[in-house]
Amino acid sequence: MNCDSLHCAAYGVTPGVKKNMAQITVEHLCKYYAVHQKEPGFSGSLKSFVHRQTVQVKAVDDVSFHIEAGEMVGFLGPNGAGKTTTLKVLAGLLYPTGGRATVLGFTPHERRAAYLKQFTLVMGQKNQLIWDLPALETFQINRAIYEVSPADYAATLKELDDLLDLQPLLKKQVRKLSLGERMKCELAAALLHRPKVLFLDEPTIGLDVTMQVAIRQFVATYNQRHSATIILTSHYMADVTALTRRVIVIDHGKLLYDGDLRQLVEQVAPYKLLSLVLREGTPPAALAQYGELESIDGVKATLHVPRAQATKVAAHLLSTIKVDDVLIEEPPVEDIIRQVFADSRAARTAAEQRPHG
Amino acid sequence: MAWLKAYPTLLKVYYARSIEYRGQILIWILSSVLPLVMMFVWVALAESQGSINGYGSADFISYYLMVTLFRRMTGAWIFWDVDSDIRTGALSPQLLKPIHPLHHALTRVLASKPLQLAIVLPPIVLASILLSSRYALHYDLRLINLLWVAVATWGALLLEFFAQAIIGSLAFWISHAVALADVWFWVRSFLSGWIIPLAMFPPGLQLALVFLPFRYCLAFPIEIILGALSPDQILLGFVMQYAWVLAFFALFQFVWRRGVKSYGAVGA
Repeated sequence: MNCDSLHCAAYGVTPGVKKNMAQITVEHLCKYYAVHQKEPGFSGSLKSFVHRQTVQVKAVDDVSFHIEAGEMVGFLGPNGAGKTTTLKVLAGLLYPTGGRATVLGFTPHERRAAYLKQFTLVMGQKNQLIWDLPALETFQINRAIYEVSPADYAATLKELDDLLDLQPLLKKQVRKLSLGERMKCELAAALLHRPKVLFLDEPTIGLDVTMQVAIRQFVATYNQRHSATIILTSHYMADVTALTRRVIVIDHGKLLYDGDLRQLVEQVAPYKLLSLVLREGTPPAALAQYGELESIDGVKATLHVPRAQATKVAAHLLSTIKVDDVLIEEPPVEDIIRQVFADSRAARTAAEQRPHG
Repeated sequence: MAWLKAYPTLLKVYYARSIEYRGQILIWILSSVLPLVMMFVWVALAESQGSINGYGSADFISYYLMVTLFRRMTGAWIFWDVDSDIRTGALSPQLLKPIHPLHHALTRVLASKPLQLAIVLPPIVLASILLSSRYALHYDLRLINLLWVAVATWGALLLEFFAQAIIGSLAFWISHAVALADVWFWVRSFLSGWIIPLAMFPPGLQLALVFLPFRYCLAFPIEIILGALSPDQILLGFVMQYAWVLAFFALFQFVWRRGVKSYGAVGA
């Protein structure tokens, strides 16, 4: 069954990579959970004791994509969309309910040692570093577990130290490190075995802006230097726009879009923003002839203008209306993505309300 | 056997960690109090009655001194870590590594043994020396016997380790496996000879205990070091002990594999 949702048709699924070349293959992946429902309160507890109500949650519902070696792909989706679940299936932590996933030729949930040594999963909220010891001790353990040669270990540690500035942190107890410092050490610990495939789940969550930029730069450099395949999930659009050209948009377990982010933006928002600071108050009608008026507030106004005509319209407007400042820019990606999810939600609601039969 | 190559490093790191926790030394000392209290009770009884079930005062003293020592050497308190790692999802990072998560638990246990030995052995030796002026304490300390003691202690440790690992693994399905851990703790404490020497039990129960795993969790190595067993009995004991070790291991593998399949990797 191919992706037949309204939105796949609307946004178009990129032909992407030929299957036999792909390093990561996901085909009709499904992961369903049985979740116990319980009403609140004491009577709810009694009822649930007698008769357990189970609801099926479709965390991932018929998702398919292929990723080539060395690609960097961003997963976008609201909380609960299924991004982390997909990564966990690819990492072998979860067994698929249906469909298939293959990474580097391995079936992840068989968790063969040969596979485990070639990838890494970094989860923003989960620690692998031993809490009461310096990070260096966990590095030593990883070195032994992954059977990294002393020479490789020294070289990798040096490289990670150069990129992340780890020296001052390594000998301190992990619990004494700040969140940002800990994240850097977690990343380093996850990369000591030079994995070919990186799954980064919210790697910058909770970090300050400087640290986010540092982590982004690190990921980009790592991808360039080692041609590592990277799947990155993030709530921060800046992570995705800075690092990845290709995005996979997931919502409610369904794949909504797979392709170039810029193309998605152009499809959903085939306009540019024309932001004006007017010299004097102007009636909205005067501006509306140049484009769709998004907002007007005193002397500040924002118009939506079709992309192809943006500069022409701007020039014409400047010649007729007195303007102090003008800015032509892309619509914010956050708004685009929000629109994608809103459309998806609307389509879901419409489908639920349609009479069956 | 690739995991074995990692053991030196794991042991080294967890040894460093065990020394960090100075508070647990106090716990070890405190937990040695119970057998010593029991010892005083039994010695008082033996002094007044002469001997009980073949145990005189000296026998009770040497028995409970050995209980204190071997309880430390055969103890493996891993239930909480296994249980909470599964329930909180902290198991996930461990499952990503190319070695079985329980190797961390085992090396943590092994790495704490040198320190435990250093804490508990000197007082036991000192007490034995001091008390032997008044009581005829008898230990079989021939090298070959000590070798059997070591093998039996290792078997006892494995039994405890896998029993707790199995119960901890129930966390894949139930949220209060601690209740079962408590049951195991008390049944094992009673039937392994920690609280009462097995010789004090009725003969029927003693016979049953030859075939059940509990005796091999503590009493068996103690009986060897006290010189209470003939070579045949030692051999039979090893057969039973390691048969139970294999059975616990097989049960653990069975439970663990099914558990990992149903693991929800929760906690985002």
